[in-house]
Amino acid sequence: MIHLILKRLLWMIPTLFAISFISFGLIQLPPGDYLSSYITALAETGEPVAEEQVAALRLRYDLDSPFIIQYLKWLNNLLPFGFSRQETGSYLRMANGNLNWPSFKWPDLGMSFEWNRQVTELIGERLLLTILISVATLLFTWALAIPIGIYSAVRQYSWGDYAFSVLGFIGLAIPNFLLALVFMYIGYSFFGVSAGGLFSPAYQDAPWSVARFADLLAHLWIPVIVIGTAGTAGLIRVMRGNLLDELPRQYVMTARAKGLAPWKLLLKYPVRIALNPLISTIGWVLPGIISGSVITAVVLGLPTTGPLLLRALQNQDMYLAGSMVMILSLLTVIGTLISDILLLWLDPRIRYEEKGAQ
Amino acid sequence: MSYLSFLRFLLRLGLVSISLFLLTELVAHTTFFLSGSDNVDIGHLATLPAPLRQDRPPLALNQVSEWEPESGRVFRQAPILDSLVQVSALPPVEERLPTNPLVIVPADQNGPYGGTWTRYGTSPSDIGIFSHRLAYDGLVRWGPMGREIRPNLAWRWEVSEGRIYTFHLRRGVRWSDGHPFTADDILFWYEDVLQNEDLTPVIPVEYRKGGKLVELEKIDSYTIRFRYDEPYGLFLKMMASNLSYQLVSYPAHYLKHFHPSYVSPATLNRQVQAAGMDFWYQLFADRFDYRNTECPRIWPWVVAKPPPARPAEFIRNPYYWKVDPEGQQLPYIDRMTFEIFNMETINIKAINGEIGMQGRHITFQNYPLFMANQERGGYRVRHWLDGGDGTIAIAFNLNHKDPVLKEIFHQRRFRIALSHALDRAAVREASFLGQGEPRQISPPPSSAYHVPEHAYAYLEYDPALANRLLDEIGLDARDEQGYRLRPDGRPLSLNLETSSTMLGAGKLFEMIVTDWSRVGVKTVVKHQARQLYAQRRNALLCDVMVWGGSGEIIPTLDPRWFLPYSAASFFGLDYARWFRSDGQKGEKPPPDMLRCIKLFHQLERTVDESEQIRLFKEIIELNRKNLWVIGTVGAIPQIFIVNEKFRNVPEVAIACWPLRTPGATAPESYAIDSRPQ
Repeated sequence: MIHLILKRLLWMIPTLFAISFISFGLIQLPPGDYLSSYITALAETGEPVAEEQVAALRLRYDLDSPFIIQYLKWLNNLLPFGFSRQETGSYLRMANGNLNWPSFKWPDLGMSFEWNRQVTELIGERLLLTILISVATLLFTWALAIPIGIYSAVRQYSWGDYAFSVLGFIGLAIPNFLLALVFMYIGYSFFGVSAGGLFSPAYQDAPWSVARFADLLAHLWIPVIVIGTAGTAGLIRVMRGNLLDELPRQYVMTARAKGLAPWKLLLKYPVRIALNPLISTIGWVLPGIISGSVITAVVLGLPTTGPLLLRALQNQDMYLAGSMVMILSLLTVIGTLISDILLLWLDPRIRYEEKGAQ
Repeated sequence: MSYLSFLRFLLRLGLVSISLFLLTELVAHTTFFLSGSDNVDIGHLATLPAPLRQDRPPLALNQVSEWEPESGRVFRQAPILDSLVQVSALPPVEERLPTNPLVIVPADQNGPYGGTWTRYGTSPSDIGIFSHRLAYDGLVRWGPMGREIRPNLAWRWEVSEGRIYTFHLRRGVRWSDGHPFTADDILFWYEDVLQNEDLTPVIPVEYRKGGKLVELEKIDSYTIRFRYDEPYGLFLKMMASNLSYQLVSYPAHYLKHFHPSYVSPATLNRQVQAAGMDFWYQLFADRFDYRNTECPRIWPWVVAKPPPARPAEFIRNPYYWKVDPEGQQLPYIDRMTFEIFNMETINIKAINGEIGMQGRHITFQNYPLFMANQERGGYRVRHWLDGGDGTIAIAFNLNHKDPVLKEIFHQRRFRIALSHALDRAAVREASFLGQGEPRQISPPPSSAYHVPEHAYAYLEYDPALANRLLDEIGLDARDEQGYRLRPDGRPLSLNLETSSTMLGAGKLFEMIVTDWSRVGVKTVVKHQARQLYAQRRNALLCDVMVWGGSGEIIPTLDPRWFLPYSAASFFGLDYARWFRSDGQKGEKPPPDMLRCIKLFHQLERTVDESEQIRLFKEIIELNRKNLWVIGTVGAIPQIFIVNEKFRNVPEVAIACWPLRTPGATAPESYAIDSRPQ
């Protein structure tokens, strides 16, 4: 098993290199660059940018060097092992003219053009809240979907099953952003919660306290419900389907015949097996933390990483977008590995073995 | 499956569909009911407040004057600064203000101090508009109606021969760190920014009239003189609109630390390296950026928490150099906050009354909603005149790569025919809620340059006339579907191209398509990503382009729709290249356009205002004759959401880029009055 994990870890390196090249290339592929998108965006709101200003900005953002140079420079800064920049501005030569050998250094994700900030700083600020929302949504989804799924399977074709199915399909069908707008309106009209965001204006900047946390909770329910509905609906179906597969099995019948209490039987055997697919997809949660539910987050104005990535891609803010895509890829690769390991551990029937190892 | 069970299945299917349909309807109706738009009668909104429809001076506007030395130096400051002065963190207010502070007479009332102005933006660069719309402080400034140029940092100026401009600066103005602002700061800009090739690779055309860089001379610490070789009549207007806030915003004492003329290369490199940048000019630009909290400013508010802070926060500049008639130091409002949301959310926030004062991103389509929620949301809707006339311009690509289409577009009668083919009354009803009036792209009635003969030319909806004109120019052959054929026998089909983010146009595009197709000109709408649109435009590949008007109220500053002036003159982008490069690049314009260019060159050298107006009206006359650009509906008000506690926000002002809206209405004199009325 250790051998397998090590091998998988080593394979990650070339995979990530390939991803970095492709994603950086894709970001650069659309016509124009950050500057032209910045200028056209300004022109739309009535602010002309003089051609002379454009020339200065091109120079400032260093947009004219060839793709491969931009890529190598970004990659070199991104890696923990590479050429560190010298005070002369050169990467290859030291101040005294000697060759600069590659060494270990802090990874540098680069600057965002639009925010005029280090990418690390931008992502760091948002990551905590993103994880909080993702975890809360996940718990909400599971807390709702698993019991309902069990109920729907056990009482198949009952009125309750129909009611939950209809609700579930509506949850799947309504676009999240629409739901977000409706909730925002309801939240304001009936509960007086400020529209959008995660904090009331009063607590926006306050240090963490019980009151601020309560304020956060008062705002959190909207994104959690909005993002959670579609997931809940999907999960109810999966749960119901899996359980319906298990219930007619012989072992269930045997246990029932032996007089095991119905609820104890249900929870101890078929439900546990039906949960298997849920656990094996836990790995997908990791990348979802960064890129999940972007549109909802945009509408609700959540300070999470999704809207940041979306805007960076739209504006061709290439270092921000590139670095975020890299983090995303890293998380996907790690997530897949984790879910593989979990599977291996949970289900003894699955084996990863070298061909001809026996 | 038996026949009966199939029937039963069908019945069940029908029942489920019906109940789902009912459920959807229920949800939709609830949503619609909740949004509250059904109880607004748009009909009664058609009568707008009187000042909107006529060229009438509005009710209350701010004025400026000078502080009389006889009044003594008795000044007052915002209460939040008192404690700072007490602990000597700040000198007393008399010492912070200049000898002759500018007096702003607010529109409604003096004060009170305090409060937070809440605004929202859609992106970080959208917050950046702070530095040129809310902090609009140059040597001179436009009045709120765009009629007169007012003193600002310069309290007096002289013009001789139309080419020598002398500005007298206020004595004792200070940067927000307390350092004096003098002519040396402007000289720093002139020598080390404007003439530095890394910071200014291309010197703006306004500074190199007659092929030579303008000379800037420091007479004394408080007097500067610009000297052009030839008369430049638009200089003062340009200073009020565009230029002067650039040249006064470089604090030499601070920025010198990041400039190679003052710092050794080694020290500079070390700083560049520490900031994680590659070149010194990136560091310089970064230090100058409005988001840098360390860089001193002369603005009413300075950044305290730059984005990505939520909200981004700007706080009062304790050294701001303006007072009200009672000697109270401005601004009245303590803080300004910006937060980033998407446009729909900002509109919801407007209805909820969460906005202080804002017109940006307040979409006209929601107008009835805004009107209906005023009481509940505790705000008022202000209708400002759009200096760009709010019109959507339809421009034919006169430099089209396809010679046949180009030939057709160049026919004057073709353009006039398509203007007559447009049912503007229907457009007005469908896209603009019955507001505004049909107009060409022309200076609005509130402008000194207004020419009714052009503004209201070729507007009648007359498909018969359009058909006749099109037949006359040889487009009389039609295909079996009734669409006209080009002279080369191929069907005449036009792409109406626009950016998918083009807002406020509503159903306009489909209406153009229907109207033009009715006279046999097949038209297809092509929405595209703005980047792609820009690329296609610049490659001269578009047929017909749709875009908004600009600041037609003072058309001399940006005459993009009247002559091929810039990369925004979509009707003749290659002619504009010719104009910009003095005939070196691009295509030579046709005679009437050349005449416009010549008139404009003449206008630029004219100092006399009435002569400038006369010359520009000649340009407009040529536009009337040729109709290079087709207008749709104008006089659409720009709506502003203003919290009911806000004071000194004018009922009506002009809104457009050259006036830096709301800059020209003096945001530093806005106040928030929470006292019971």
